[in-house]
This record gives sequence, structure tokens and C-alpha cells, in this order.
Amino acid sequence: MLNYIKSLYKFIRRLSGDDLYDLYLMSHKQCSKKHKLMTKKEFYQATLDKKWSGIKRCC
Amino acid sequence: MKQQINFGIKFGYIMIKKYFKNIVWILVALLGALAFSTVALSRHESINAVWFITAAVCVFMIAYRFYASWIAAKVLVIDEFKKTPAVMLRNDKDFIPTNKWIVFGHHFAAIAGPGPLVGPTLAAQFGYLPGMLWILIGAVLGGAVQDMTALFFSMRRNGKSLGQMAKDEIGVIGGTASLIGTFLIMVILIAVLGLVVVNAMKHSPWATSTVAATIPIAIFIGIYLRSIRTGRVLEASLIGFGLLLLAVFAGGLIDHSQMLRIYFDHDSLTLAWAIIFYGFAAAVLPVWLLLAPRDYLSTFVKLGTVIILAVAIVILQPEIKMPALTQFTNGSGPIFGGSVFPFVFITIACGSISGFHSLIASGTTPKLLDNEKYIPMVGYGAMLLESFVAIMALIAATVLEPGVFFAINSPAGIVGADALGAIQKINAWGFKVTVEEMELLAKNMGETSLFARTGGAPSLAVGMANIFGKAFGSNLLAMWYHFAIMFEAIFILTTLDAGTRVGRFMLQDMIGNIYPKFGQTSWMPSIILSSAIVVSCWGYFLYIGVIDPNGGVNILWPLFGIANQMLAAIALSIGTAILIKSNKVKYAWVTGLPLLWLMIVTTTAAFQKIFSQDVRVGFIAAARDLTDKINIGLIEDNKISVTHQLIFNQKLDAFITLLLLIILWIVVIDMLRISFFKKK
Repeated sequence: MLNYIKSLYKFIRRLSGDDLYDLYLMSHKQCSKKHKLMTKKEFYQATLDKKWSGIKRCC
Repeated sequence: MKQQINFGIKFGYIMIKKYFKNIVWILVALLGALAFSTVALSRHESINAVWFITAAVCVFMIAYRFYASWIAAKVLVIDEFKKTPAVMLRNDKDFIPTNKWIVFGHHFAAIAGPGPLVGPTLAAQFGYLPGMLWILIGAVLGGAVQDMTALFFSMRRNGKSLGQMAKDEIGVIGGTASLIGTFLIMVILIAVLGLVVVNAMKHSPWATSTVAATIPIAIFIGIYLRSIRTGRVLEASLIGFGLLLLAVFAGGLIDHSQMLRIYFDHDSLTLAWAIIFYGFAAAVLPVWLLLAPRDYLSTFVKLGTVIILAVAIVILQPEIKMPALTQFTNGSGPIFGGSVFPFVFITIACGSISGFHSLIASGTTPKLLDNEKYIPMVGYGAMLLESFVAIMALIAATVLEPGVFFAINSPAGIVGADALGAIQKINAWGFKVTVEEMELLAKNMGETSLFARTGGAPSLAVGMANIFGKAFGSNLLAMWYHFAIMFEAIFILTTLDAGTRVGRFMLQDMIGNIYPKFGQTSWMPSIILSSAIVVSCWGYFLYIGVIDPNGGVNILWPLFGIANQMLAAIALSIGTAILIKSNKVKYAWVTGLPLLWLMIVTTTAAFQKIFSQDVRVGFIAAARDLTDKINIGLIEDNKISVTHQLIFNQKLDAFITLLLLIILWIVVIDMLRISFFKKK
């Protein structure tokens, strides 16, 4: 039951984008050390700029 | 011997499983057929909403299991071993392999806007049956197919957008048409949604203060997410949701305070100017401050409310009061003029087939899916879920007494501004309702009046409040009503913010081709000028909609429907062209048939909107009628200037409709020419 709640929480975090920075840190550790690591704030801003540069919401 | 027995058991198990599956699907089909025929053939006084839900669930299950699977296997030939753009071009910025459920959630949140709530509510003037049938059949054979094929073709082209695919597959004409179509659709959509919000707020201090409070709440959440607890979306959304509930409650206090309520009691025109100013500010301000936090909140509220509504409908099992068909199928409806064919197919776009979806299906989604085998689930499945939302909106609108529904949705220009006169007219149509009933309803909902609250949002909110009230406690009807208004307004305003910003980018891009400096999206003069142009475009239609005594929705919603269906026709043309060019002519009907249907309904509707002699349908006839009224002195002197504006607008609308029609036919003819040429 506890595992079920944990995985549900993990799913909701992923769906809402709550864990995006954690994912970025993991990804940065694994494959792109040549790029400068963005701070949380820089990453958040970059994510928003990317997200809202095109048609993201429909009628 | 033992091995033989084991084999026998296994074989028996497989056979039972196989037959059990078949039996389950046969039962689903039978139950669906029973529910569908009950909904379609019932002519009793009322029918239970559970039949609607059962029919929809069974139809969607069968369509998903058989039709979507067949399209995936035979028509598109989906290959689960083929690397998707997310895997092949992975950069963890645009191309990110993502869990299928996360992609499904993001895709659904992106496609499901206010359209499936408003369209079915307006179309309920024909009775529940035309809307119900079109939502189910349109989604299964048209909308979901369009979304799924657009997603597949974009994925097979490294995540190209609809505009790029139109240019590649049909040519420059197709690309330009999709660009103009997208811009027009954006302008008309924002105007009509703005009008819906204005009509929900006019002379309602409670609704206005609640909707106004969403702005500082969004700004606070924006600051919280950027500077206090950076990127903690979940907790910020929860805090924001709590504040929104508080705003609904505080709105009630403001409404009861004689001192405070006057600051929020405004007419339509003042509110329209406020929305126009807000739209400009939202387009110019940084994304993190207003748009992004508002989107987090609206997504949270949207998903939560839709789930609660579904649960409430299942618990409550309300009776549908609206008849299957009303006399307004002949075109004399008070909400909008025009007969059931073609206008039900234009009025309900989102929820059945919406061209706008193809922009999302060829936007972010194809860059996230990590396996082609999930295309039916995301492309087809998310559209079915949106259709289900449309069915729930239809239920919420039709559980109201028809007399109440028409009293709320009929504009003063049709039934008159006087309550008694309006009631007499609605009674003469054969729908029972009294002035006392409407007064009691308004009092219960915390409003001074619910007459002529056009646009669909107030009647949907009354329907939702009734359902929520009966399921979770009827002593809070006014709170539920204003919660429902806030729920609708919050994501209408998100669409307004996001749409204005996209319009700004499109304009900057277009003008940037002539004057490159203007194309720099962060150059402030370009931001201000392009935002002002976009806001002026939709602001003009919003202004005209507000001053129109027929309510504005009568003109704007069909125009939006025609524009949206035109974009769907472009998306389906691309799909048909690709199928023909890749030697799959025998399957071209999969996209070709919905395309043909859209051509028929859009052309008929556009033709009628331009040339019909009925002044409530035809733009030119309406302009001529107003001119005649001025000439013979039927218009009061102080209204002549406004009438001239309305005449100009009718002519402009006729021109825009004609433009959409020409674009549609050019794209389809060009698609056929290019497909035929390439094939040879």
C-alpha cells in the first residue's frame, strides 16, 4: 500500500513537472558534464521559455 | 504424460481466456447498443444521464480497441521497434523520451480547453440528441483519427509541425493557408472566449471579484515558484488552489457588502475593456509572472473539477430534462440562428473534431513519446477523453429544465430585456418556467438575475452547481455556482493569455521576414507593437460582441467553428495526401471521409452564414436589414452610430467567412492535385 502511494506521488510529481530539476541534475550527471550546470532558477526560467514559445494550449 | 496434461491445461486456459475476452467485448457491444438506442429513441419526458455515460464509455471502448488498433496496424503500420524522434534525437531539451502516461497527461491537458464545455452547452438548443450523436460519432471517426494521424505523421517526420508538414506535403499554398488559418482561429477564439467570461461576470460582483482575484493569486504563485520555492510546482498548485477556494468564499462576502460590491458591479463594456487591457498585459509581462502560474493552477483545477463532475454524475444519476429534439432544429433557435444541419457540426468542434488539436499533436507530443506503439493511446485515447468531457458538459446543460436553460441563454435581443416578456416568449415556445422560479434560482446561485446570461458559461455553472449541490450538499449552491464560474474563467483566461502570446510570436515571425529586427521576440518595441496588434484584432471582435444586442455569441461561435473545422480539414488533407502518396489509396478513406464530411458541413455553413436571407443567419442579410432599419427611421438616434459599427462588422464577418472557405477549397484541391501528380 505504501509503495502504491509512493509511486502515485512520484507519478503526480512527474506529471506536474515538480521533479524536472531533479531529472535535469541526473541527466547532467550522466551525459553532459561539458555544459555548465544551470541553477534551479536558471533551469526553471529556461523550462518556461521553452514551454511557452509555441502553441501549448488548445481551445 | 504429465507434459501432455500441462499442455492441455495451458491450451484450455488460453482458449478460455480468448473466448472470455470475446465474450466481454460482445457484452460491451450489446450494452453500448442498448444505451445508444435508449438515448437515440427515447421520447419520454426525461432520461437518466447514466445512459449517456454508458453509451459513451461503450462506444469509446469499442472504437479504441478495434478502430484505433486497426488504423495503427493496417493503415499507419506502427512499428514498435522503430526509434522515435524522442529516442533518436534525444537532447533532454525538446526531445525527451517520456513515460506514456505522463505524455498522455500533458497531451490531454493541452488539448482540453474550454471549447468542449461551451460548444455542447450552446448546441443543446437543438435538444440533447444531435449534440450527443455528433460528439460520439465525430470523435470516433473524425477527431480522434485526426489527432492520431497528425501525431504519427509528425513523429515519422522528426516532430515536424502541422505548418511544416502542410508546406512539405501540399506545398507553399498549404503552408500559408495553415498559417493564416491558425492566426484567424486564434483571434476569433480569444474574442469569443473573452465574451463568454464577460457574460458570466456582467453585473455579478461575486463572479467578477472571484475572477479578478485569480490574477493576484497567479502572480503570487509565479513569485513563489520563481523566488521562494523554485520549481516546486505541486506544492505551489496546492497553495494556489486553496487561495482560489478562498477567493470564491471571499467573493460571497464582497457580494453581501454594500460598500465593496459596487467596485465589482460592472456592465459588459467595462468588463470587455478590462479583459482587453488584461490580455495586453499578460502578453507583455514575463511568462513566469502570470501565464505559467495561471496555467499550473488552471490545469490543476480543470482536471480536479472534471473528475469531481464525473463522480457526481455517477453518484447522482441525474435525469435529463431537455427533450431529444426541440423545434429549434429548423433554425429558429434563440441562442444562435441556423438549422441543425450544418450548425450542430460547427457549434461542437472541440469534443468532436477540432483542427486546433493537430497543432498540439504535431507540437510537443511527438517529441516526447518513446515508442510508436503508444500513438493510439495518446493520439486517439486523449481525444476520446476530451469527448467524454464534452458529454459531461452536455449532461450538465441538459439536466436543467429547458425553460430555465433558454431563459439563461436567450439574449435580450431575442426575448426582450423585460423578465415577464422573456418568460412569456419562452412559455410560448412550450417550455415551462416562471419569473418566480428564475428569481429563486438567481437568489440560490447568489446572483441578482440569470436572464440573458449568454455564452454558455452561466447555464453550465448552474447545471454543475445543481449536480454538485445534490451530490455533496445543496446548502452551498451559490458557492458551487461561483466555483464553476471560476473553474471556467480560469482556463479561459489561460487560453486567452497563451493565445495572445502565440499570436504575438506569429506576427513577429511574419513581420520579421520583412524587417528582421522585428522578428527578435525579446525586442521590447516589437513585443509591445505586436501584442497591441494581436489584442486589437481580438479586442475588436470582443467589443462588437458586447455591443451586439443579439449577444455576440450568435456571430462569433459559428465563425470560430468554421475556422476550427477549416484547420481540421487542412490536417486531414495532409493525412490523406500522405496516404495517397505512400500507395495506401485503399485506406485514404480513413482521413478522406471525415475530410469530405467537414467539407460538406463547413461549406454549407459558410455559404449560409454569408448568403442566407434569414437575418439571424446571413451576415449580408443582417447588414442589409440594419441599413433598411436606419433608412426608415426604426433605429433611435443615439443608436445609429453603434448600428453602423454592427453593419460594418457583419460585412467584415462575411469577408472572413469567405476567406476561410476559399482557403479550405484551395488546400483540398491542391492536395488532390499534388497527390494525383506525385502518384503518377
